This record gives sequence, C-alpha cells and structure tokens, in this order.
Amino acid sequence: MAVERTDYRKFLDPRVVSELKDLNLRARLIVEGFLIGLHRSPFHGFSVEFKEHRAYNPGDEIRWIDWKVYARTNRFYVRKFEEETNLKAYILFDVSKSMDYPEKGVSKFEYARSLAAALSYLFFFQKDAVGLLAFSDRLHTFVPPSASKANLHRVLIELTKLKPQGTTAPWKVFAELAERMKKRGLVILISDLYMEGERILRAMRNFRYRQHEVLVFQVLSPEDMNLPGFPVLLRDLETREEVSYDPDSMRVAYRKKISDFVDGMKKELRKDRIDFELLTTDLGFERALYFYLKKREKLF
Amino acid sequence: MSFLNPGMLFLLPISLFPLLLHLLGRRLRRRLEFPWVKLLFAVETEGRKRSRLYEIILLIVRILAIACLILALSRPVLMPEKVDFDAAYLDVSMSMKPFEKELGRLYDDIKNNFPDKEVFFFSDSKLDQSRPRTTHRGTDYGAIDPGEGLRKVLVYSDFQRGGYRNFPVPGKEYLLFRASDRQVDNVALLAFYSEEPYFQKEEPVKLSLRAQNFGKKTRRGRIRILGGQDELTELHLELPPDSGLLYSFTVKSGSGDFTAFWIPGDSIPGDDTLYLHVPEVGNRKVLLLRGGSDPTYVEAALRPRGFRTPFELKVIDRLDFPIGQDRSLIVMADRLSASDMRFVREYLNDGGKILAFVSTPEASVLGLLGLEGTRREKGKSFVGGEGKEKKAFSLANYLVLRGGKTLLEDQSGNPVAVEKEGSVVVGFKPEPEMTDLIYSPLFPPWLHKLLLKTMGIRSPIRLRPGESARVPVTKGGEYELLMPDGTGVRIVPEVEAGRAFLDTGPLEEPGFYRISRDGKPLAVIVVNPDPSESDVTPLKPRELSAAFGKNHRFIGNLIKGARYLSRTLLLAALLLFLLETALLFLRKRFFT
Repeated sequence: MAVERTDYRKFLDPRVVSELKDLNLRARLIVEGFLIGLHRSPFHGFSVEFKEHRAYNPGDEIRWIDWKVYARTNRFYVRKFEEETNLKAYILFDVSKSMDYPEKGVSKFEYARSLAAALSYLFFFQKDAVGLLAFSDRLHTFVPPSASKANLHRVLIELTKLKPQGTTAPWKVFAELAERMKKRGLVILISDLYMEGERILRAMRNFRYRQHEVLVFQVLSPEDMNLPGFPVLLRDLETREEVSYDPDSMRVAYRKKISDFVDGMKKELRKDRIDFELLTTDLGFERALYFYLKKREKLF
Repeated sequence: MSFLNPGMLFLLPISLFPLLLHLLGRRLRRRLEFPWVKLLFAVETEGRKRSRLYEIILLIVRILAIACLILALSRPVLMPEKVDFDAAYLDVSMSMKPFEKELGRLYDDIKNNFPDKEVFFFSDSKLDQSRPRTTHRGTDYGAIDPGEGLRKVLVYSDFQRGGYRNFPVPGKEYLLFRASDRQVDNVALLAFYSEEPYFQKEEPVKLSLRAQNFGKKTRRGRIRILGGQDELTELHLELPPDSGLLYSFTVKSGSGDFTAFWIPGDSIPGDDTLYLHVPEVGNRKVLLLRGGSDPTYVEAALRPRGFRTPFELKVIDRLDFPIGQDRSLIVMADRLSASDMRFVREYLNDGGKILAFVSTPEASVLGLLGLEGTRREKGKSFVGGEGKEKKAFSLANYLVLRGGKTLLEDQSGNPVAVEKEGSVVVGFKPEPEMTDLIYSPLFPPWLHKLLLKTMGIRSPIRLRPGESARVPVTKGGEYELLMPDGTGVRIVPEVEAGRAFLDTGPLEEPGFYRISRDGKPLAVIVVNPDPSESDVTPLKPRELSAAFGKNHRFIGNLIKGARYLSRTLLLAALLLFLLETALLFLRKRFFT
C-alpha cells in the first residue's frame, strides 16, 4: 500500500491554510508543518519539549502513544518530553472590525485566528495550559487556560465562532485579566494594534508589572502599508469616519506615519522587555511560532 | 475689445469643464473601507493644504488653457486708442515727398477713425484737398491757422525749415506728429520743380518723346500717344539717369514749346494732364487705373488753369466689375498686381481701348503671370520665351504678339511703346535709378550704391553751384558737356602728369550736366543748391520746441493699431498646456 506523503510545510502558508475550514485541522497542520520544518531547518538547535520516542510499556498513559509512528511501524511508541513546565498562556485575540481587512485574500482576522489556533495547538502539544481571550471594546470570549485536550477543543471552537466586530478598546478587559492572573504566565497579544498607542503600552506594562511575560504580535496586511494609487474616500472600519484620500499628498506621509507607529511601538515595548513581532498576512506562520518558541526558551 | 468670431464665445463655458470634473470627481469618488483612517486624519492635515493648493493651481491652469484656446478661436481684437484732437494739418510740401505713403496712411487713419475731424493739407498755404499729394511748394507753418473752437491741433510734418508767420497761435495746443527725419537728398528734385507746366486752353499741341536712360543710349522716338485729330500727338520724354523719379516732357504747341515734369504714379498737380487731354473722347467715361492722382485732385489742378475736362474721370479702386464699351482706360502705374493686369487683359479682350498705359515691364510681368488661357499665341511663349525670341514680359510685348505695332524699342529689342487698335502702351524697363526703393528704410543708400556699382552704373558727381568737376578720361575722342538747358559745349581734355581729365569749370546753374564721348554718355554731374539755402534742412527738435512754445507735445502714434490677440492667446494656451503637463510630471516630486 502506497503511503501518500504530504509536505506539511505548505500549511505554513496562510493562503493555503485559509482554504481549510476546520480550524482544528488548520492548527494541527500548521504546527506539524512547522515542526517538520524545524527539524530540517537551522532552528533545529532550539529545544522543543518533545525529546524522543520510546517503546510503550504497560502502565504508560495511552494518550502519549504516538499514533502516527504506530501507523508507520505498527508498533507502539510513546512520546517522551524533556520537561513539563506548567506554563499558563493567555492568547489575547483582537476581534475588532479593523482586523477584518482586506476583504479579498487573507484578512488580518483570518491570519490572526489561524495563528491563535496554531499557538494553542503548540501549547497543547507542549502540555502547556492555554487560554483564550477575544476582545474588541468588550470581552467576547474567555476560555481559562488549561492543558487538557478538551480545553484545546474549546479554544478552537471559540475561535471558530468569532467574528470581527466592534472597536478596539480593551482596556477594561485587560485590566480585569491582569487582576485575575495570579500566577506568572505568558500573555500573547495578537492584534493590529489599531488603538491608542499609549494605552496599549500602559496595558502591556501592567502585565509586565505583574511579572507576566508578554509577547505582542502585531498583524498587518500589506494593504495596510500600501494605500491605493487613486483618489478614494476612505471609511474607517471601526468608527465609520470618512477621509478624502489623495494618493499624491498622503501616500508617502501615511507610510511614514504607520512605519513610525510600528517602530515606536516596538521601541517602547522593548524598553519594558516586552517582545514584539510584526507579522504581515503574506508571511508564513513559522515566523510567529518560531518567535514564540524563542520566547518560551527564554522563560525556562 | 471686440471679437471677429464672437460665436465662439458661446463655447467659453467649456473652459469650466475641468472644474465640473473636479467637483463631480469629489462627489462620485469611490468609497473604500480602511482600518487606519485615524492615522490618515493626521496625515491629511499636514499634506492636504499643499495638495489643495496644487489642485487649485492645476485647475486654474487647465481652465485658463481651455479659455485661452476658445478666446483665440473667437479672434479678439484690441481696438485702437485714439489721440484727441480737433483738426489735423498735414504737410504736403515737396520735402514730404519721401513720406507720401505715411502721409496717405495717416490720412486714411484719420478719415476712418476720426470722420468728424477736419483735415487740412498745407504747404505754403492751406489747401483743402481730398487726398494728400505733395506739392512742389515749400512749407510755411503760417498756413496752419486753426479757427475758433479748434483748440487741439494735430500737425503732421517733417518740420523742415519753412515760414513761421503768425505761428504758433497762442492758446492752441499742438500735437506734433513728426515724419521720419531720415535725410533724403531730394534737393535735385526740388530744383527741377521750379518750372511749372501748364496747358493752353483748347489749343492743339504736339508732343515728342525723347526717351533716355534705356540702357546707356539716348533714344528718340515719336509716338502718338492719345490719338485723334492731331491734337496732343507727340510727346518728348526725357529720363534723367540720376534723378530717380523725375521725367521731363517737352510739349510742342502752337504758342511755343514748354517743358513739364512728371513722376510716374506720384504726380504733382498738372503733370498728369498730359495724358488727360483727349479731345476725341468727348463724353465717354475714362477710368484711371491706379494713377496715383485721383480725379478730384486732377480736376482741382486743371480748373484753376481754365482747362476743360471733357470727360468723366473715375479712379478704379476695385477691379472686380466689368467695364462697358463706353469707357476708356488710362493706366498709370509703376507696379501692377496680378489682379490689376488680369483686369486690363480682360478689358482688352473685350475690345476695350487703353488710351495710355504707362508702366514698367516688371509690373507687367507680374500681371502676365497672373493671366490665364492666352499665354501662348501664334506659337510664341510668354513665359520666358525661346532663345533669341526671349522677350521681357511686358504688356507691350503682349500687344506686339497680338499684332500691335512697335513704336519704340530699347537696346535689347524689347518694345517700349506699342500701338494697337488705338491703344498705346508705354512700358519702361525698370532701372535702379527709377525705383523709389531708395526711400524705403529697407533699402539703405549703401545698398543702392552697391546695386548701381554692380550694374555698372556710375553714380553722378554731385556738386554745389559754382563748383567745378575734374573727370578723368582717356585720351582721344570728342567730349561734349550737355548743360541743363540742353545746350552742348565741347570740352578738350587736359593732360597733367600723363593723365587726361576734363575740367568743366564752374557750374553755376543747378541741374543735370552730362558728359559724353563721341555721343556716348560718360558721366553725369548733378549740381544741387546748397541745402542750407533750401527749405529741406530738418529743424532740430530744440529749435522746433522753441518755435512751438510750451503748448505742444510730440506724439509717436496717432492711433495705436488694432492688436489681434489670437496668436498671443494660442501661444498662451500652448504654454499653459505645457505647464499643466509639467505640473503633472512634477507632481510626485512635489509631494515626496
């Protein structure tokens, strides 16, 4: 029987992944693609908590049996992990209307959702507890962190249900979350950061102040950076305000403005030892996942 | 401002089309949803001002470009500005001769633009004539005597020296319009105008023609000019080689011979009447084609002398009407256009008669080139001719080929005077000396001299009365000095240091002296009066100002000519379109 080999790395491409409707499958494929790539890539030196396989012995938990290996070898192997960390991670997922851009292709929302799902899957894979908090100007979904598979499913189901809505004003939600997080954890913000820069910084600093590690993924689309080359009337996705756009007079200045915003944000966050990564929707997910792993490595 | 094509002005609103597009474009602009509008608000306040300014400039440039184009198509004309005056006095004294064209133009300007203003011509008296023609008289500014109520007086003159009796009149304001003060040596002319021609009342006269200056030979010929009843049958025509525009006539009549002077096309009063005394014409109408003298002027010149004008004389201004059989034609012109000649030709073809035609072959050539249908007759070509048959393209030639009888030929064998069926054509071969180009600013004296030299024509020796000339000659031969009065004196060459020369001795009488060797002309001596003794010395402006007092000012232009703005506007439109292109091209640079 010929075994069809699939190159899982293609699922790191957001355009490919966005074709898959099942978020669970999407997350799994991204992570698997990432892990395969990782083994073959120079990133290999970074430790993933999964260390090796060993033969199944009676008494081992069935859930650690690697069914894929079983499928290939017809023998039971269990996955052996280097260590278990008890890390609690919160994925703060921006579902504001500004994330629903561009209309065509992979939107920031879709990208961010796939990324959130992949991260959740990776957390689960590493036996870390992962929680989800979807926000705009209010709290939309909150899934407390847990390392169980059921929790992963819940996170993925909640992610599937989410739709872009509202404006970006999560200050209250973030404050409450910071209050609730008793143990030191990891906060991952996935957003386009279309909000008041000073307030974001304050909110992130609040997490840092409470000894949490913070990782910020700013998700932008190439269209965010490049305005159209013709005069149009631009309407704000969140506030519905309109501005008459003239490419000649505004394009260059706008680019500079947004570039300054991103650079400023990065600079300010780093001052507080908050990691920041700019992701554009045309980039593969491995960058974000790799970035996360690097961060995690620093933690332990 | 007025418009020659005002209908185009209805298209002017089209120039607002860019504005309409601009406004509609703003309204119909596409709406796009975008996440970073807040950032754009900040950007807008910074760049928008510059962009709006740029847009406005571009819009204005586009509107102006289209407006200029439409205005150019509507052919706008800036109407002339007029100088205010009550009466005009135009100097028609002899010294104004070189400025006759300007004089005529000024007169037309006044008639067309100031129809209610009185115009007077003056020389040594106030002449109330209909057209400005220079007289042989001198200038006397005392003739400018504006009546009561005429406060502002326009004077057009070259302001040569002249009489100043009771002038200027106190309380009047003078606008002085100065003719060009270019020095023109017309002293010789002036000297020869001293003898005035006249006609004997109803007295048969004979004219003989003696034509000099055709080449270098003196020719004599008898030509029957006006035909009929042996009256005025012979004309003596003498063409001094260095007088430029002057011709003299010897008229033989029962009461004795007398001399008249004539300038073709630019006649002084009375001279043209040589051609007008046509008793046989009776009450027929005579058309004077481009004669230089208009009928009123001719009649005004004839009447004081008791001369009977036996026909109705009419100047042909427009050549686009048929001439009936009851009309005869007198043509006096030194230049005829193609349409003029076509007119003459049609007239001849219709059986019309030319009573006299005086022109130059040059003019006739122009005319013949414009003729259609009958260039080839009797196998001979009018265009260039063939070999030895090559003839000058004159109307005289044409008549010869039509069976006309040659009365006089020049040395090249070209017919000068031809008679056919009662029509007589006299055509002069143009000589540099005969041209009035010398008065043209485009024909400076040095060019004239160069032309004479090139053509092998010696410039005359110019002397003042009482001076003598030493003319180098070769040894041998008989030399004769022809005096202005026509008498000849034999001169024997003197030899000094091995070189022979003729000494004329003091020449007292002003006029032309000709030296000939064995009958062939050798040199011409012009004895002119001292300019300081004549009235042709220009006054200095200071002198003139002193003479006119304070109440005067010089004006450069009576009427600033109408300005046609089409070209300027077209150019402006083109430049604006170029500017628009440049602005669009530089747009990106402007904002980066």
